[in-house]
Amino acid sequence: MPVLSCDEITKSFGGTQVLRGLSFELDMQEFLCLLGPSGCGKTTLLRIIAGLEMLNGGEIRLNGKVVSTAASRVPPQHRRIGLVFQDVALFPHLTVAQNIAFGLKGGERRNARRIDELLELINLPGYQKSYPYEISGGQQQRVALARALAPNPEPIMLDEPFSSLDAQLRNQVRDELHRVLRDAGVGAILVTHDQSEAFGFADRVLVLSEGRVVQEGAPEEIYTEPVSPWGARFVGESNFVSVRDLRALIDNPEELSDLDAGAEVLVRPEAFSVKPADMNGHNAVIETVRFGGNHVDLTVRLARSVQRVQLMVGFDRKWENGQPVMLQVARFRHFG
Amino acid sequence: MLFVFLLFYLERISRGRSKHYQLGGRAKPLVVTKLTGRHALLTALYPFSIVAFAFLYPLVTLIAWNVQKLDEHTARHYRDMLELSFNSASVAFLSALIVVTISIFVCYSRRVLMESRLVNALTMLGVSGFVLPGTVIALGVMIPLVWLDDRINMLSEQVFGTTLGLVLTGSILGLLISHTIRFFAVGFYFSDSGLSKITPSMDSAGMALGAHYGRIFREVHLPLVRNSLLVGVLIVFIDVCKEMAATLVIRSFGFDTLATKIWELSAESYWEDAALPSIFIVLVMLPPVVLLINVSGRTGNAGA
Repeated sequence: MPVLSCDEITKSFGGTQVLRGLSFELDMQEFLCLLGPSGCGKTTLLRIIAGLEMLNGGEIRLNGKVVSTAASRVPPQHRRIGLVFQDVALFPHLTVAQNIAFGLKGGERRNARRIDELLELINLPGYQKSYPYEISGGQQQRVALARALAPNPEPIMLDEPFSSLDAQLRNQVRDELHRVLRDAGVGAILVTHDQSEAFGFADRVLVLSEGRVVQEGAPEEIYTEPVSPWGARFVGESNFVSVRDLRALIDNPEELSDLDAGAEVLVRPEAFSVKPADMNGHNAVIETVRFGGNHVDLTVRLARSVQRVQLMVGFDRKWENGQPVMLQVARFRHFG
Repeated sequence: MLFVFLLFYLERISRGRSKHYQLGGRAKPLVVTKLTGRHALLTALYPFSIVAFAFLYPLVTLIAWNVQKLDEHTARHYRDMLELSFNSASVAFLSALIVVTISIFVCYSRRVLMESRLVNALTMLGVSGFVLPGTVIALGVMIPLVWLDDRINMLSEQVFGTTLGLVLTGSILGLLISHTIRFFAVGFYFSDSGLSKITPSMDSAGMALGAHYGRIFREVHLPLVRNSLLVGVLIVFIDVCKEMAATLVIRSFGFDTLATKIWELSAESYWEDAALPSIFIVLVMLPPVVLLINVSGRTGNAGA
């Protein structure tokens, strides 16, 4: 039985429909990500699941029990769902221990052991007496997670929890939160607009757009097999190449015979391979070379159609502007 | 008046664009720099000169005038002063409590109803009371109260066969109403800035952790806004103590405060006689001022 199931959720504010019949399920200990651009309704969905917001249609079940319908709603206090917020939302006048104890019966004094245990889990032992302003942003977010975990909720929902952090810190805190949730053995829903956060965190990703689920799958699937050009652009760098051009870039052009020559296919930047031109001639010319740290970004003009494509290669070789090259496409995706 | 509304509107817009909630208690306390030598002396000189010229010098003068009159002062004189002080303090204290209580309600309805235009418009109207002259407010309060008193007396004459006299206009109700209208803006400012430290997600977090509104209010909101509210009460108290224009219009017969007494005496050029109530007004305002300095010192950001 799924821990959480959302069935045909609809919600509108005033005249605008924010959620248009959205359904998904979350299994025990599963890490799910709701990925979508701002305004796609993902935060609204999270608030509805938490019971902070009413829905207009559909049904939400937690552990098999109906908690939200258009007519009734179990209040957030009785749902046992953990929440972690973008702005951290620790209580600034309470110590770390008091914050963690807020959701525990008996307060700080009777739960000393549970608090110690949680601080151990988030790798901040001995911080009981610290105040939120005395610790770093990343540490605050970990304490916020410990506070949410304290009453043993299922699932934990995290609303853009890394976007208030510095870029360098983000991955580190993400991995730390991921590990803590794994160790605690609790399922989680991450809400974000950042595909790298989603891919690095979740077992399964739901891509949301305009209040609907447009794609659902493992992170690799979302990246390599997007269901629409919009989805492709949203989760990563994308080149759209015509079938006519593509014929010159693959080993056996016969496999393209049933595609319309004017149709466009998606080629990811790392799906190209590139060699310096040899006696077989060249099919493209390098326009710009940008050093990207652990890789090199090339902009290359196709000889056949003068279309430009972006590609990403390792720096095992020196590339130069104007250099003629031989391009090959290893993987592409056609939107049928 | 129109100009004030315009300013108020502009302030709202600019604030609306940048809702400044304090993020998860990230605000670090300010670093204190200790000044030494010449710098310390010069820095201390500025506030000291204000205290000296605006407070100590006049106070000494008042005391000197008082000493000249000392032989004329009877016990009755001092009893009068105590009564006036009690009048001033009780009216000021009650007004401050009413103002801050109403402010909390207004702030909460704004919080719950979010961007309701009606609530915003009403708040703006309420705040604009601050720019009205006290006498105008007092008249505005007086007229309906007199009318109500007439109705009450007509009714009681029919029912009991006797009139009850000045039920409303004879009480301090009118004073409290006009002070509330006049100083609502002050209370509102402090409640609003206190509550804006609490982000909506703190409420959500509290609820998800099983806390009902009552507990969230007691354990999260109250400790976070307590100092701002206290500062609000103190400032309104001090403002009301000094208020005189509205009090002169609306006070019932024989009801005086220190401020109106000082006005009466100085209007008749009895400067030396006005000295005693002036010293008492300083005494009445001293405890709240000390408390205010204490509260602001402790939090480092009173009202911010």
